[in-house]
Formats: sequence, C-alpha cells, structure tokens
Amino acid sequence: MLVVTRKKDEKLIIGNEIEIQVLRIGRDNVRLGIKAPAHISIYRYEIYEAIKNENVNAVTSQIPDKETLEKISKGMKAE
Amino acid sequence: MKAARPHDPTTRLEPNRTHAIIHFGEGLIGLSDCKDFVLVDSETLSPFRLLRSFDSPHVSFLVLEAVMLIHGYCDVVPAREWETIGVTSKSQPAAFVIVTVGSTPEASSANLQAPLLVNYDQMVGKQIILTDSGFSVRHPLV
Repeated sequence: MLVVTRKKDEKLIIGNEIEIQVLRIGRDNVRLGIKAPAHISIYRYEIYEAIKNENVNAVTSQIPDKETLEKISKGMKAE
Repeated sequence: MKAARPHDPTTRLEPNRTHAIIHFGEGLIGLSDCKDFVLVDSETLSPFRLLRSFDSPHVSFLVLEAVMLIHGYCDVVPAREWETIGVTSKSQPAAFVIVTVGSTPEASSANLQAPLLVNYDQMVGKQIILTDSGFSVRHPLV
C-alpha cells in the first residue's frame, strides 16, 4: 500500500482524472473531497462491502418452483 | 416433471425465447468478472425474471422490476446515475432489484438499495448504490 502524508487543503491525483483533497482534519476523522468523472462510482467501503455480500448471497443456484414464486407474488403490493 | 440438473438453474425454463445480452461495463458489485447478462423471461417465473450471467451460467439472480414494489422508483434514482448508462429524459428507464427467496414468503426480500439500471436502447446496465435513499437491502416482499 502506498502511504502518503498530506496537510489540510493538499491533494492527491490518481491516474489523470481522479483528485482527492483533504478538506478538514478532525480529532479522529478527516473530510475528503473527491473529483472524478461521472462513470467512476465512489462509495464508502463498508457500504460497498455490504452490497457485495448481498449480491453474492443472492446468487441463485436453484430457481424456486412456480408455486413458491406465486405465493410471494400474491402477497406483494407496491408502496 | 423432470428433475432439474444441479447447477443449471435454467433447465426448467422454456427454451423458446431468444434473449439479448445486456452489458454491465463494471460487472455487478463484488462480481466484476460477470459483465454480460441475459434477462430470462418465463411464465414459470412471472412476475420475476432471471438475470443470468452469459459468461458464468451458474451465476444468476432472481430479479423484479422495482416499480412493482415502490411506485415511482425510477424517479428516486438520481438523473446523473441514469446518464452514466445513457438514459435521458426521453428514453424509457428500467430498474430491477435483486430478490432473495427465503424459506417462506415472509422471509423473502428485495435489495432496494442497490438496483440494476438498464438502458434497453443500448442494452447496457449498471448496478448502483442509493446511499441516502433510506431503502433497505432486505426489503420484505410481503
């Protein structure tokens, strides 16, 4: 892992397009500003991990039978 | 009825439809190798559909159009997210949510927080995370 020390207001650039700036340094947190092209997705790591786990758990190895799906769809209604 | 072959969730599906490939440029979150999917539509599954990886046929998801659970769901998705897959105000947006079937209908849920956006005109898609939406990753289906 590359480790770099930065002061408040200083920046990093990743590739040619992604800029990260230290906006504020608190006692036990830092506030960062990120500039990136629209197609680059930026998420808090723990949220990304949670969705990743949901995706992996949702991989269907066996399709539920018609009866099971019908039971669910009968009880469904849009909010 | 013939028993389904293990690891082939498509065995019981009607083979009489042709399915076009939807390209997810970044793959799905945590499954970045799976980029090409077919959306399988079948009477056996309706109103659900199967999103099956073209490269890894053992990877498939049961999905549902998000509007079936939340009215106006597509409007909740920020315009900038739609724009990343080329959906503009003129095109028809489509958002699917991944469904997990539990042992009972009550234990079954949909991931409303991380929908799959699809642009049917260009056959491209993207999974996004709606961070501040208040939507659950395990929204109960019934």
